[in-house]
Amino acid sequence: MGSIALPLAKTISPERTVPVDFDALFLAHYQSVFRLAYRLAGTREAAEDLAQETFLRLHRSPTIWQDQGDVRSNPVKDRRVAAWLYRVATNLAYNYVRGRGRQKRREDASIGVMSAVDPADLAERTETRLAVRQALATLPERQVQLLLLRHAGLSYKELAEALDVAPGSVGTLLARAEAAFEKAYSRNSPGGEHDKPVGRDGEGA
Amino acid sequence: MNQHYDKRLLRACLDGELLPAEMAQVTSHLEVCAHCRETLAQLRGRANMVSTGMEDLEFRGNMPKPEQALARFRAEIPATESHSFRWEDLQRRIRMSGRNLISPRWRPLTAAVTAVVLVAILFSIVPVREAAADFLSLFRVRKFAVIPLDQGQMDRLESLARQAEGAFGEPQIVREEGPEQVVSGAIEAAGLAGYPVRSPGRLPEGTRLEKIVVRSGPAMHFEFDRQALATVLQAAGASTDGLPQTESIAFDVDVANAVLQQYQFASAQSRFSQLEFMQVPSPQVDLPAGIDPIALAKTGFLFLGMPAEDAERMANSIDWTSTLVIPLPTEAGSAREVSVDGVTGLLVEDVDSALRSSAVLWERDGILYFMSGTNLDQKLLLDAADSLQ
Repeated sequence: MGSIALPLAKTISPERTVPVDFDALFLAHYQSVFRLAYRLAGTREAAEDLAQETFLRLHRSPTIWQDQGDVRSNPVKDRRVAAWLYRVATNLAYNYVRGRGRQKRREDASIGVMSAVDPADLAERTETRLAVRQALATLPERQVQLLLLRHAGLSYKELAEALDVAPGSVGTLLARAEAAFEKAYSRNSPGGEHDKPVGRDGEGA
Repeated sequence: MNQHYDKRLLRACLDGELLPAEMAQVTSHLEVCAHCRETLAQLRGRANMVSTGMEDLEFRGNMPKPEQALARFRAEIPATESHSFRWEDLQRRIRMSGRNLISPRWRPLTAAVTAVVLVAILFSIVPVREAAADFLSLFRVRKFAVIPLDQGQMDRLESLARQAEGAFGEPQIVREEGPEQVVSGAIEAAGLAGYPVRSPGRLPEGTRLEKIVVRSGPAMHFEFDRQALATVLQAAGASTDGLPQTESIAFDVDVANAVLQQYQFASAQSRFSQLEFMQVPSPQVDLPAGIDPIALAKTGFLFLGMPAEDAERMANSIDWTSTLVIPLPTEAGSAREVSVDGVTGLLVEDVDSALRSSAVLWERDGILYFMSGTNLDQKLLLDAADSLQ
């Protein structure tokens, strides 16, 4: 019995790809991705960078969007691409936010508000936004993604697919994430202006 | 009904994500159950709170124009990005070659891996004729060998692998691979892995360890019918020289614990630079007595179009008992030897340098190391690789 080191020889690359109009995908999904990234990042500039990076990842992962022919004629596939983009965008945005110092985040959050067109309740909004973002930043990434993606309108089935969880567990995970958010938010803004439901404490189901 | 509904159902009920029958049941239950109504109200309160919070975070300025964003995207991405598809694929493949052995996808890949173990050990080796000469002088009896592959040769290999897929059965799992275990750091990882786990001592400022995981690899026993294998080889127009004469050919593969570390940081290249670092004790494949790697290799080289004399020379030039063979599509990347971690390693670079993707592989004291960087200057990558402690 001789011994041989296993070669790194997985040369099989079955991905036979069909050219797809990447630009069409970009145009179709850009604003949703930007909006999603903005929620966490809080500044236009950062959200634009994050969106660019998200599409770069897509561009480099042709198997996500190239294997089924023209994606524009395939709404199912298109939803899947969207879910993939949302997941990557929220992942990048989450890492971005977590990677920044508290101070920096505060600074950016204020700058973010400067571009908002809502001068009436500017100060209050700034504070609220900051509190929401800070609360999100203390949650585990999966919970943040779940909350963001649910809010972006993904169905339970799509959420399950995008986040790689069992479809039957989405309700539980969502309830848990919302409970965690409530807890973190209350901690961050003791006199918060949200209507907080009064009731039993706890982490959910 | 005395039982209460759990939050899963009630939460799904709020979103209208129940089947009509479930919905009807829950609704009628709610009419008579104050407890569940209260739970539902609590869930609704929280959901509304999150919803309001999300609304607050909504972007309210002028939306960036997708067309402008696309123009920027195109300006920042070189037109040759198409190469990066291949590069990414390759990078993933190299990275996965270690990880594949320990991934849950192992079994679906079995047939392909089987082909790899049996045939592609030697058949993945492709000569680009001119390159072969350089290659011989560069990599004679090294721990790693790169075999450049052109597209035509890639195609031939793929077709061979496809033919081989049906010919072999499932391996017998001697030991299951373990789950991915997230650990807190190198010390805990070492405790699980059973060998000292090394981490880069020098990393760019602001680097964050995203995660460190340990995963135990499987042990497998393969048994093949010589006749089936010979048929595949003959159908592919390859010789069966080098196969043992015994009726069945058995292989044993054993993969130890792998440790994977992921780092993220902002660099001069990008805010999203990433470094991945894997270490795993060299997986071992026990070959049956009577198999002749050199003869098989020669067969492989001939199959891929190499002149007999070169095939012979090449097959003999590689120490098949200690060489990790990496097929490298010439369109995707180039490789060169580098000095790293006190030994000679292999630096594989993307052909499109603008993407700044590169990977370095080496072996030291029985451990294989693979470190790859994305959006990362090569110097930083090598510096990190040189600073293991």
